[in-house]
Amino acid sequence: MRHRQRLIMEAEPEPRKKGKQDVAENITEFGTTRLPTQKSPIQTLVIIGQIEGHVVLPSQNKTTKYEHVIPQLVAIEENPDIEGLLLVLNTVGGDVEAGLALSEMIASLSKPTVSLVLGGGHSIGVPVAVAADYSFIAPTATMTIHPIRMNGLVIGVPQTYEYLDKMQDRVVRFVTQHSHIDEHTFRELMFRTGELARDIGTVLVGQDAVEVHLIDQVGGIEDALKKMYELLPPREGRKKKGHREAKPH
Amino acid sequence: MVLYTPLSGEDIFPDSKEDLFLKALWLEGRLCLVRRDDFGTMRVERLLSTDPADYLDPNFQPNMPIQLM
Repeated sequence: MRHRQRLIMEAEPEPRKKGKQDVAENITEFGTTRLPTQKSPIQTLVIIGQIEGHVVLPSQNKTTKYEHVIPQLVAIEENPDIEGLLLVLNTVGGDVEAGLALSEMIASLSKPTVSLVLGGGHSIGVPVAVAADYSFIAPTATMTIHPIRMNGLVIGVPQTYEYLDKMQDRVVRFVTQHSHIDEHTFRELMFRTGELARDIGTVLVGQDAVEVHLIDQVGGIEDALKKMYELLPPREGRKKKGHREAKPH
Repeated sequence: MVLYTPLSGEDIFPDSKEDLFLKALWLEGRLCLVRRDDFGTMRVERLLSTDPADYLDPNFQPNMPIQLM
């Protein structure tokens, strides 16, 4: 059982790494050499690449799979030791159903959620970003808002348009319900011409997303974590444990 | 399937079929994406964990070789 041996060997140097902890005291007091590992009260979900849904994308795509993320969200909701969720996004969009499923899961979590858009949060990344209780965007990050398109066989009948329109409405409704942007402004950004080279729509860079009230604030990881600790329910001794004071700028 | 992305269809579904070997595995209680390199060694490609502390574990750094039982 080589695997088990490796596990035991790893467990031993752990207390030494912690430095301040007295290993000898642990042995005498508790008869153990391994300190109980504590899970971080703030869990992080990184959403990268394409959001993958019912169809597996070719392997050169970097993807976030819903079968990985949805159970993780359930676990976060169920675990009493976990107090909040930080979402980090750098996504080019992806499957509408999967994106909306993730967004609904995030929006319906009972624990505080904060999102941070880095690099890009395009298309279906927009509802995922706004699903959190509070959203941040990095000053250089971009969000592309554009109409939904269809892959594969398209039948030239009015129903095709109506179907696309319905899918579009699902996204628009979610975004307007979970952010402060109004439907008129969002649709105007979505159907704007002359901004994108091969498409209609708009690219919002950092502050632009805040100005249209899509995202709450421009910021980085420090701001996002600070906000997260603000949103957490008060608890004795939290500051000492989890959060170091932010440096004044 | 409706894909909502600014990427073009050709970017997502290329003509050439080059299959990267990627597999999801549970290693020490953490879900990992692993790939096989040119010499057949399995290496950590990505860790799929929501606990930020897991990403500091030296055994789960990207490209770390893994030993299977």
